[in-house]
Amino acid sequence: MCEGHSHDHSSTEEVSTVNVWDDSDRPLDDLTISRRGLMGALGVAAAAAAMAPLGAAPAGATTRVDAHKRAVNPWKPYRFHLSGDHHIHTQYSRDAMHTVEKQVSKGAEYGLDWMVITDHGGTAHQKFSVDLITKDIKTARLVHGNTAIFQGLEWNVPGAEHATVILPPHTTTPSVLKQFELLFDGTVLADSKKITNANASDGEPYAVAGLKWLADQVKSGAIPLALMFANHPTRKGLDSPAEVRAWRDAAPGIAMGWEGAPGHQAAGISTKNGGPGAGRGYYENAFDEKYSYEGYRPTATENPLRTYGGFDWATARVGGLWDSLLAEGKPWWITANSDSHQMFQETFVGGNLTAAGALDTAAYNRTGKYANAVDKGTPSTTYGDYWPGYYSRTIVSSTSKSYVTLMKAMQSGLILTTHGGIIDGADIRITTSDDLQGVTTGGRTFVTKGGTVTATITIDLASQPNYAGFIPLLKKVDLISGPITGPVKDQQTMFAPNTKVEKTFEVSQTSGQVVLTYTYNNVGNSFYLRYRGSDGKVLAANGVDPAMDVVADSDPWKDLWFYSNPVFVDAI
Amino acid sequence: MATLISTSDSWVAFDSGITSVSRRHLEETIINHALKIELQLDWLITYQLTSGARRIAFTISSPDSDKLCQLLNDLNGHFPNFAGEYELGELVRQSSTKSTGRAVVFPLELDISTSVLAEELIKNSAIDAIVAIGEELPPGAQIQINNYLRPTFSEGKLELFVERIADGQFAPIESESPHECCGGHENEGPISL
Repeated sequence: MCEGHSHDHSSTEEVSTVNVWDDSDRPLDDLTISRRGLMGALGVAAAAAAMAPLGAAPAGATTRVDAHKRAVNPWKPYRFHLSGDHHIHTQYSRDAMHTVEKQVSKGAEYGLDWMVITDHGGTAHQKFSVDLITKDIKTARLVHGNTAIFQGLEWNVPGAEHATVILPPHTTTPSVLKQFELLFDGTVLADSKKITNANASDGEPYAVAGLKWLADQVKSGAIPLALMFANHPTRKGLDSPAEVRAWRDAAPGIAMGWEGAPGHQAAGISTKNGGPGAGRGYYENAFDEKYSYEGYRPTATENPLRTYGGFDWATARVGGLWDSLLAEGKPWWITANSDSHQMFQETFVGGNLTAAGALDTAAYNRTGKYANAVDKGTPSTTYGDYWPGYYSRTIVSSTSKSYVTLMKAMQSGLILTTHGGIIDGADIRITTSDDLQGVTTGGRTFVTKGGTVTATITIDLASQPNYAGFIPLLKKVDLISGPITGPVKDQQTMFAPNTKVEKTFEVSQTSGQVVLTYTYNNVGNSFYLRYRGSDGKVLAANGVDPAMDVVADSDPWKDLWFYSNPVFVDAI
Repeated sequence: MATLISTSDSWVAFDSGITSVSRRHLEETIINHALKIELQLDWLITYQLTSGARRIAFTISSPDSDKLCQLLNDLNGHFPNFAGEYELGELVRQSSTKSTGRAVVFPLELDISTSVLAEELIKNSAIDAIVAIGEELPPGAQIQINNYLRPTFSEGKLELFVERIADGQFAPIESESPHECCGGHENEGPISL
């Protein structure tokens, strides 16, 4: 079942030695990675096998054991740790206002190596914006040679929330995006009366069909690669567990995860402190009988429609929905992004406003674009976002700086997420008594039953002030692990009750590098593990977990976390 | 043809079906039309129907059965009905026994335009309990309401879920106007009956 699921990059990638993005805007045959090598790495069989659950594998057969002895994402000293953001809006969204150039230059100023421009799907966007922004993105790539600028889309997933779709630079990228949007965007489908509305459940089959369509574009060679990450998954309780599993299983290698932490992190800053006084991440919605999934109904102990320590409940809750997906032994990765539209305390306003001062959506609908934002010189108290790179980071470990290589690293789960510069970075290495080399995040290793597994995280503590002006102090790190129990029978399963915090490390060191090691002895069953860490300033009553963020009074700089992606361990 | 269910003299239920309008607009439609025809609503409750497509259903209690029938007939012309009689009848049972459901209209005799003491809210409304998520509600807690309350039934009680907000106050977890975004999900027009 697991045969061939390795997507070890080392055999298929060339290593770039130049500090620029070297496959920008070139036709397929000029890409750093050859088409033959790429398709070999992303072939249908390999992608399907990558989804194979470890825990479900029967034991005993020699060939099966041999298959399990293949390590995925073997640990190595990755050369590039590339900070990025896959959720950025521009004047081509009907609720945003800045130019591509402004967003990219600010992101680069705040230390990002890569960005994905993801304006909202919609009829005007599909008709006008894609072509217009293609030119702007090409220009930005010429201006910012050290920054990878992906052209993407914030897809209105039919029957659900939003999702980032990422495509690499390619001659077909705009046409693939336009066709995808026309056929599968929830708002476009609703406008054309094919579904009731973007959130209605009669759109759900279109979501699955859309992901399969993207997979077909990759298989046919029309586009080198496509990735999908669901955005703000439980903000309104729209993405049911069954829908998420359907996306994941419909397009292995394409639908790869979700935002562990949503953007809009300044939204919870109180009005007293010059903020909008909303919910952190704009997570302030109520359960909606019409659209929310019943399992997300708030209880006396928790509210799935709120953030916890700035992270989406589905990711933040130990033993929650993310863990229930990981317990199946299948990939599902997390990211952290800005969702930047209008920035906290900035002085700009939209270029087309109504008499009441709101963005004039009628103007947008006519052209798919707002006029450039205008500086009014007065800081806004109603904007709840940060510039790309200012607060949220998705750090991807890659062997080279090329667009497709970076996407492959994201596809492989080589991702760390941080808020407010709580750490500079982390190296995660999981070795076993059978696999001394070990693997890193997104990877899979193996151990003979009764053997040992050693989990090591080497953390580079924050070495410089963040953009709030202070050097964050990491206070604790949690190692979380749970058994791999195989595919679920009930697709709406949303808890993994046996996943727990295995070990909490207190961190007293304030600078340099911290190495934390934990050994699992006499391992009897397959399991997965992941890390998270905190500044320890805001914790739940148990002193371990993140606390539910307070609506209208959450200072994001006083509650910082990092989360890693998981490693799977197969007991054979 | 839609079927409206009336299993008692005072309660009725109907299934809105998959409509292109939001829950808020559906609620406003019902309340506005009741006002228009001078129908007294004692209770208006919402439910999630999960058999088939996910959608919303309503139960209504009123002492004026004739006008209630008029309201339902007017609504019936606008909303397709997908649910069977059993399920709607079950909703009436759940409403009348306070088992499940979310109250849009309920007995209330209190100025709720700003903040109120939790104890006062319980004393002057059909709300039986106020539940603070993740903590005990402290004595003397102030609930910032701003003219919008949507308590829910649970095991025979009408409960209001609240959460901590700024300045030590609490607020219902459902507010009237949460931040709206983004690219078109909210393109839903009002209904005119």
